[in-house]
Amino acid sequence: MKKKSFAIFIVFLFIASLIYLHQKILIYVEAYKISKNHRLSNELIDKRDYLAYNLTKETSVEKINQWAEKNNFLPTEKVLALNLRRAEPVKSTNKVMAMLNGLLGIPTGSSTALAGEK
Amino acid sequence: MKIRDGLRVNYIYVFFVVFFILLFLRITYLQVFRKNFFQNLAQNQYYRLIPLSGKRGTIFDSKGRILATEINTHSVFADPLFVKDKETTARLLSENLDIPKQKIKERLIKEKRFVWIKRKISWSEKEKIKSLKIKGIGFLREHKRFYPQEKLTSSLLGLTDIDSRGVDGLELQYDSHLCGKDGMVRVLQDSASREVILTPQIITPQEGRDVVLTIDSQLQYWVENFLEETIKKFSAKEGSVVIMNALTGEILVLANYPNFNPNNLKEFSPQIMRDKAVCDMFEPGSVFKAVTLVAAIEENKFSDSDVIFCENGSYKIPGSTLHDVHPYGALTFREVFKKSSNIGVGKIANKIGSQKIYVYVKKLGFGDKTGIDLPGEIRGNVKPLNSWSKTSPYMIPIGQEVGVSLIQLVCAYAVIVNDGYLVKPHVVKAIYSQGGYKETPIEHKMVISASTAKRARGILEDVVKDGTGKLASIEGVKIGGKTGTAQYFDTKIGRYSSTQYRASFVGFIGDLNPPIVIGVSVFEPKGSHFGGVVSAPLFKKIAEKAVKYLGGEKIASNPAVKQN
Repeated sequence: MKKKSFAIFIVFLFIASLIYLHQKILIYVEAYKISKNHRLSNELIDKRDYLAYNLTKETSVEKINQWAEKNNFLPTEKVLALNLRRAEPVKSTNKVMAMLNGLLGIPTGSSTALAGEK
Repeated sequence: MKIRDGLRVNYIYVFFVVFFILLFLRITYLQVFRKNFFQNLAQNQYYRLIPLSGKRGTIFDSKGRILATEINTHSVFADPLFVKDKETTARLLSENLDIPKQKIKERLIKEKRFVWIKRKISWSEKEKIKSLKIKGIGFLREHKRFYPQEKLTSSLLGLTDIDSRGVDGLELQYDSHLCGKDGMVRVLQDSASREVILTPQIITPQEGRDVVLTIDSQLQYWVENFLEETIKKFSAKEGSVVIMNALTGEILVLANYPNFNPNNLKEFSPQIMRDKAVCDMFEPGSVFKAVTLVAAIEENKFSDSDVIFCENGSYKIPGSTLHDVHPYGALTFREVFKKSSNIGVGKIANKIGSQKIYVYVKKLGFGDKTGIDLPGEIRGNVKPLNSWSKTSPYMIPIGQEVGVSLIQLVCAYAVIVNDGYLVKPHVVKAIYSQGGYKETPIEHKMVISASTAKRARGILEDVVKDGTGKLASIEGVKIGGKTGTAQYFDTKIGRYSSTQYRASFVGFIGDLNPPIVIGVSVFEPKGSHFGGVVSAPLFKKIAEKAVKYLGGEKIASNPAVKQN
């Protein structure tokens, strides 16, 4: 009886160890996936910045004015400008949720306006 | 035989027991007593600290156009230990990065584990180097300051160093606000040196605050173009223009020529980068006569019709002789300023008295910093009353023996425009951070009465209507101002130069709501050196654009303006 119980214990321990190992491996696989995605996202951010750099350079006040002068373009009375300032953070209206978020350190969803017409 | 075998077994037994005891002791020593040492050693191999740089804040103009921002770039580094073929590596890098091969080779033969090859390269350059797959060459992500408007507002914005710290101009003045805080992340590193994000420990980087300026880039663009045209037309050395909202002290334009492209600093000397409108001092000449005008009115010493004899162009004063460009006889108080008679103004100042003149010089802000939020502002040079020479009571009221900056002159004229209030000029409208924003408060103090300011305004409008500043007038628009032509005091020869002049014009457009003050200063013009010929037409060009661009309904409905 004692021998049987011991054998069951060993088998149980073996299975538990296998499950633990499997979970550990899964964590590492996920970590590798996250790292790969992070690298990819960084590369995309770099590409975006490169394009934004070229675009901003081509749309400078000087370039726009040169184009306007060359093409006899007369601007309208009202000036249209892009409002690129950072938007005010959006705060939750639910006080209980806001307090819980504060206690647990969960960031409240602050929206950032990339561009809006003014 | 049996005894000997038994002994052998015992020896072996003892040997193994001792061996395992020693092994156990060694393991205990390593695992217990040297635990921390080996744990740190292992962690240093497995974990890597990656710096996360806090992005520097963006600088916007008053309409939200980007003047300075951060872009992601890469810096190339090498681990010389892993670079096997140094010759080929140096050649390949040299071809793609535009650096001399020898310079790269010198870095690669260093006995170090980390050397910079080139910092802050473009994305396309990085992709080229990456495709070469050179062993021992790596990249670090960094931020780079980028000025999309290039030369526009360059001397105002200043610059940052390679580590994105402000070193000049606004970048320096607001460095503590603009500068982000760096963070750090600890990641696991596998055998192939790949970073694995596993339970990362992060110190989050903080972004710098965004700064919104009072400057309007569109107006700045026109002003810089007009200034460049004038400088080239008169083969002048340099020039500056300042446009200020007279009520709030907001600087709408601050232009200097020559200017520079902050994205390409190698081509320019530090001399060009200086903000001349704020950091340079000069003898103002006749534009300074506005101080005498204000003092005379406030002290109620003269009425507009009082007659002053202007000695037909030459007047002996203690220690020197005053001259007028054109000889005048009797002029009324109003005409003295309209025709900018040195003798007339000298006589008026003499009647007011040196002490009173000195008080008004100080009241209008000369000899003190205006407090503009830019670094390196010059205080100017106003001699204390006890240091005045015999000539000073006549010379200082006509703008000689005194040193001022263009920004000081603009602020002094703003007093006349906004009913006697001296405002503190500023270029930053507001600072934005994650938590909200803070606007720059408007600071002003009353230094002369509103009635004095009103009377002075009328006389300065006459100067433009049919006085020395005629070339600055725009039909149908109320413009006032004063011309100034000052000889340059050459410190090398110890006297006034006969060839170097500074032509200035400081004026205002009273019709605009809010009214603006425009200060123009051109140094060393050739052909003509008079403020009325060089600077007044430049003022007119700027004023025309400003009236159309900033003009309210009153200006827009004026048929004379529409024709311009």
